[in-house]
Amino acid sequence: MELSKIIGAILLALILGTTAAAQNPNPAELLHQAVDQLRGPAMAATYTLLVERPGRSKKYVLNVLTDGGEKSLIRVVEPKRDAGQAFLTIGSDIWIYNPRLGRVMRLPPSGKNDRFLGSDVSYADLSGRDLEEDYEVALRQESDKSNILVLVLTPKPRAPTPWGRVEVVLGSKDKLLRKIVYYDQRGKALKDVELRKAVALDGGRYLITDSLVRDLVRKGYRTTFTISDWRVGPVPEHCFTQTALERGCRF
Amino acid sequence: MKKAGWTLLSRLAWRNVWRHRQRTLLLAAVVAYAAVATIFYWSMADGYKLSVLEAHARYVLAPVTVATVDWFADPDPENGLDSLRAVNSALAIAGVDGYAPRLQFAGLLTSPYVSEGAFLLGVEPNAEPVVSRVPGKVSKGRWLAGPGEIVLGYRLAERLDVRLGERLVVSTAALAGPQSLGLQVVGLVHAGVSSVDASGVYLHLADARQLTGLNGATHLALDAPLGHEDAVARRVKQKLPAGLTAHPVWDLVGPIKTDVEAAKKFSLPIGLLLALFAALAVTSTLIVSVLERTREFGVILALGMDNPQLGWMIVLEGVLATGVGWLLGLLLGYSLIYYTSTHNVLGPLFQVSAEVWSEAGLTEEFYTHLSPIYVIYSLITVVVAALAAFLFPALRARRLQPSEALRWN
Repeated sequence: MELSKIIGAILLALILGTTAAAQNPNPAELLHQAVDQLRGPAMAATYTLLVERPGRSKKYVLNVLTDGGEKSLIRVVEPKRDAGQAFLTIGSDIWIYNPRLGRVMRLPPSGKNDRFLGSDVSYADLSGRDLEEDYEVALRQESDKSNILVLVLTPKPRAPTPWGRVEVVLGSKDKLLRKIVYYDQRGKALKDVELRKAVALDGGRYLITDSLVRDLVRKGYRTTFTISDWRVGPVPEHCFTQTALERGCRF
Repeated sequence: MKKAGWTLLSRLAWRNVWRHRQRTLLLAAVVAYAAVATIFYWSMADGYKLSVLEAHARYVLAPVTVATVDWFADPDPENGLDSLRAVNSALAIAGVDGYAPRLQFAGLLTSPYVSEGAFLLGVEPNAEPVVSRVPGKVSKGRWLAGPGEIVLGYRLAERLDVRLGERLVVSTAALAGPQSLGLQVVGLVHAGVSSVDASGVYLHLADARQLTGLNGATHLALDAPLGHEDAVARRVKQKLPAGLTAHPVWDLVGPIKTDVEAAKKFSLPIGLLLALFAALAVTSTLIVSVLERTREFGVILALGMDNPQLGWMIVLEGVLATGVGWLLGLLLGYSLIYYTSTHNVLGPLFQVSAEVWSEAGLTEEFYTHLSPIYVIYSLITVVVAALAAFLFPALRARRLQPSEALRWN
């Protein structure tokens, strides 16, 4: 799961398939459909990241390139102080370019808990596995009038996830992902991701353009991601190299 | 009395010792104190070294470690042993039957709240108790029973905010590339060794192999009696195949060894200083005693004893009182170090340094060492003190005139 997509929808950054839902949907199939929508298109876009803390906030503007697969290149444009900082993701490997040092560093395993640009998303979150790989899925019955479906994900034995439970909320009609809530192993909700706006792309896919990550333990800690100026189309392979990480990539 | 023999002098001295009971008891007490202080000091110094050695041999490292030469230079799984067959055969030939394979690697522990880097130790749950005391120090839950489980130092568990029965994610990147596993916390260790309690992570060898991609182990931990690690390591080393070597724990503790050896060297001048203080205390006690008895000495001289005999009598009195004090000091000193070598009364005093220097593996339990050599150390201290103490009174006795002594006020 590559970095830009996760940022784009926060963790499961975007989605939604257009496949018609079955009358009695299989929970695992529903999740698979939702996750499958993460295989978004290759594109270039501008992401705006607003990190809010009690009494203050900080806005980042990021240029993002993704091949629609496992590769992405993110470069900080604003604020000036952080401009030039860049992140190259290839699979689960992440390289960071620091313009002040003029050096490229590979993120070590011990650094994966660091917060991405001080936001509420860590590198570990960004390089996390697909939800369908690590969890057993069950569909929680809501009232007949409810317009949502809730998938309750519980970790498989030995699954590499610290969460005790994850709830994934989908629209009952469009199966569009609305919200993800992460619980600890004592039943307490720690974090949620709300996907607030989506636009339809060609081929019946959706791109989440506005999402919010909230820390449910610490009041006032939240991060908003918005996507603008997206341009769907192939991105050259040379944009996902360490040279591009240092010098940028134009095409 | 013109010329008293040694027998008479001895009888006189013995009588004087008990005639001046308060003075005798004071002198004996001072000597006893010097003996107790010496015994306790050296027992502490040896206890410190053994405490560090014991903590590293049984909690942090192993009495003897067998691994490749490359692994000792760079303890990474890629320098580990892919097969244990050859080393198992070598250990059988060397007559070592108490050992346990281990797989050590660096990884990341992730709970829902926090992540922390750590050195993890993959172990065979049934073999580990042969070489380590950690399995017996699980204070909550239990020791490992199979794959899928993890045991943590209790302070690490507190930092990660993870409880018994909860899942902890272990991630690493070694021969198998980036790998992660969710393991259930089944036990919390309270070893009393700060580095174990603060950083100890133990998982099943099978899980460690899966995470790292190494089929064997990084090293083998060998059992050896405390103080015999060097001999066992030398014996095993001769039987190992090329590329493998064995190191006793003392070779692997790094700067801690330097520190402990430096502390031992520093203890020698401190011990001598202690003897000097003891000598000063005994001397001052004897001087006061002799000065107070000046008129008595004048009477003795007037009755016919000559000055050299008086000097020897004073020396004999000092020897007898000092001997009583030394024997008393031995009794008290050995009682004290016997108690502190069997009860952890000194451990709490080392807590501050253990907190500050947790990487040193200093134990929360601290026991003094019992050794008959302290009889000699204390005897040397007392003899040095006594020689210094007897010099002044004896010289004074040789110059004392009966007429002056009788007028002494």
